[in-house]
Amino acid sequence: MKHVRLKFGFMLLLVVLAALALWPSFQLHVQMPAQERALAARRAPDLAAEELRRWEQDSARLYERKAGLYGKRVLSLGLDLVGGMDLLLAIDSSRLTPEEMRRVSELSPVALEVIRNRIDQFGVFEPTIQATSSGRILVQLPGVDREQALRIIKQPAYLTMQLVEDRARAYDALKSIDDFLKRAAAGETAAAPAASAAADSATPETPPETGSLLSFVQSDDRSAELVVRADDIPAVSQLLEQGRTAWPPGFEFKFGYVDPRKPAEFVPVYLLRSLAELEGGKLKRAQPSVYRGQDMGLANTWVVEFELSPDGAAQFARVTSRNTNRRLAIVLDGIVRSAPVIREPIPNGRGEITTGDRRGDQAKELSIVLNSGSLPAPVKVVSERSVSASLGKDSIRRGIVAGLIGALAVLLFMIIYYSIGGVLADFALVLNIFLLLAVLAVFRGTLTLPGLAGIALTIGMAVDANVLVFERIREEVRAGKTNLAAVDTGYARAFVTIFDSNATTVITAIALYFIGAGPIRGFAITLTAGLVINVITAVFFTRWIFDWWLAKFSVKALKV
Amino acid sequence: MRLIPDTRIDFVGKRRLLFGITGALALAAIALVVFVGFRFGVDFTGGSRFQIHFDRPVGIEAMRSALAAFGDAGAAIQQDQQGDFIVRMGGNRAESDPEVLHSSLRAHLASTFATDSVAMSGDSVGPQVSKELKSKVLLAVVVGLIGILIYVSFRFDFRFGLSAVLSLLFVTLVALGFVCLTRIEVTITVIAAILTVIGYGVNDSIVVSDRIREDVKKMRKEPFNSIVNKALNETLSRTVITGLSTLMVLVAMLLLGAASIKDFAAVMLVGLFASTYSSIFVVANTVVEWEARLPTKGRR
Repeated sequence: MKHVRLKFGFMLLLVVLAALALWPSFQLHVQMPAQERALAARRAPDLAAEELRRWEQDSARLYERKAGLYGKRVLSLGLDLVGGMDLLLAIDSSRLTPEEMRRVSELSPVALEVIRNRIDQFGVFEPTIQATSSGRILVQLPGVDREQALRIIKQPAYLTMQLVEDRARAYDALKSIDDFLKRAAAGETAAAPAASAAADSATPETPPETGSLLSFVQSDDRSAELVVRADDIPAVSQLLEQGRTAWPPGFEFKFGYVDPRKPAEFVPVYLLRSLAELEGGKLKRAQPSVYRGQDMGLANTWVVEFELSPDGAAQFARVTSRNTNRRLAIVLDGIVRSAPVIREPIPNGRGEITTGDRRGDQAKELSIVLNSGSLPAPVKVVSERSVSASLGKDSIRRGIVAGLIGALAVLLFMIIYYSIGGVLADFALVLNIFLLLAVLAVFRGTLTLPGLAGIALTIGMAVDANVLVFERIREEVRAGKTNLAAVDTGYARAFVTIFDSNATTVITAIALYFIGAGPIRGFAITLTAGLVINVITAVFFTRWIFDWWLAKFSVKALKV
Repeated sequence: MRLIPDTRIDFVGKRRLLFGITGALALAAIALVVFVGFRFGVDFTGGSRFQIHFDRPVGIEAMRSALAAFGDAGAAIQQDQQGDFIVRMGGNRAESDPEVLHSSLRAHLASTFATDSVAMSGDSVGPQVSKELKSKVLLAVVVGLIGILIYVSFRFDFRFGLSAVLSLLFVTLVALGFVCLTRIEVTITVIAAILTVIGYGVNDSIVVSDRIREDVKKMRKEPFNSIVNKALNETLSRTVITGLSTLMVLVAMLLLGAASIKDFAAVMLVGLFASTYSSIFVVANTVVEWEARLPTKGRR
């Protein structure tokens, strides 16, 4: 056989690449659940404070690792397997005001933005939020409790504009919360009055203790506000919540927006005046536009133009004239989406926000956020599929057991029926599934029940390909050909058949993909990928091994 | 090891009888589809379907009266071996607001049976969505069949293409008839099973057609009927072995799988038999009948 090393090297390379591609998925779906179970077992109700802290740290670390894994190319499990919910939403036209009816085409983007704004902050792994062609919104939230998910989605949007306190005040506020927390912790453990004195004497120059709020805050002089690492948001908000009584009265802390589509390392923390300067309902409308002013630095950038209702205009004129050069945060559902500086008083209720954005997508997004103030875009659920996690797990477990036992029976049967050929066929079969899963992982595929059906059909076709080859070789041997010639003809003839049968099935799969709805697509994708791999493993890989084996051992009686 | 010896069964000679059997089966399947009809799941009818698990045993009568108190005396209730309930409610109720229904049913059951842990999965589908799904599935299958017809006509010839499509129609009809007969609920999973059956059917037709094509090239002198017969006998061993392997997996699924997997496996099983039968008896014989009536040039 020619190029033995090259061929075997190629096979080995594919296997290694597939293993590398599957490694994150293995960690996520096999190692992670075991660690999570171990962690859950450690959480007893009577945990000591020290133990509890360590538990919380470990659990935060695990969560971080999980989030990291989801960022990689992994195979995810569908809603029907892990539980979660799948919602199809439509704008509820029965709840629209005449004004909203006039702007009905703007409603869907607003609803989409509002829902995305909430879900993105909520820490759902791998959510799907997309507009469908029929103007509906598809939301898929794997592993999320149903009631919780509905709470996030159905709540009407709430938009406010609030004044931002400067960086130094925010820093001081954080520091006094730290002091408060430290006193509280000291009072709890030792009830030592000296602790508070020690905290008071601490100077700003001493480095912040680990675990304190200030230890999370980065002092970046270039940015106008304090920033924390995006990964630290859960820890920081937990600390802030614990020290809520020490917040400066009349003020509140809010985080900036974390956009999972363009992950940023740092996220600003704002200290805002709690009392809203303007409610979102007073914004009439906002739209992106090209900058037309005098500043050459802003030429060719996008701005957001907005217009206020008459009473909103009067209110805004007062706010802007008193607070020129301060920052005004645009807060949607508790998330600061933007915090532009008030450059000059806006007396007539018409203003613009410069973004410095040259492509226009930031301006478009911000104008949608502003429009959510006047357009609450009420949504209704037109279809819902929710799978309770425990029920989903049971059916997947039983399905996997059944599939494995069936597959083992087939593997055994192939060896009994085709002896050495059966071993080869089994090797090709296992390799086929392995490569298929790796390909799905690389394309961030999702495994659903119909997807598993697609894999089952692939396996059936893979068995068939091998059966076709071996039956053909047997025929050729019976017709009196030599071993080598029989293998040669067997593969050559069977290839035509295998190619045609796989190609026709791929045609069906492609039709299903382009026309079919969500779950049918999963079937089509796994099937297509599996059949392509099938031709490679069944026709080429087994053949290479076959040839090598015949040559190496100069086999006399071919046992196939 | 070898299960199937060299056979010389005359498949072609008995084609009239086989056409009769096939036609009768197809007609029976059509009659089932027309007169018995499908029991569509909520994916297709709209409405709600809930799977409910309690942490303690609850009898079906208690469940029925609980649902009557909820105002849904007409709901269909089923209980499986694990004691879990499947409850279906009509589309008219779901129209109002599917998620309100889910939440209030859950709250109602929790208070009726005085338990906090009611594990509940639900599908609620609005009437518009379900209508779209039905037409999408149908369109996908029709386009798929046309694609196969074109490919097979191109690689073989039009006769084989049409025979393959006829065979697929037969296989699909038998599977659909079985679904009607057993009152299996038509869900996405059952649709996936039928699609898989179509996949198997295509594969079987191609294998047989391919062998006939090959033998026709090798034996130009032989009469067409005996070539086809020879090709069928040659592929018989492969047909049986592949069928047996698939059968093993399906039996395992049927015995061990959860409810939805069982439906999948049952439909597949019937489809597998239909597909194996039709690849041997329908595909080749249609071509033979065609050849007898309209011989290709250069032949008898």
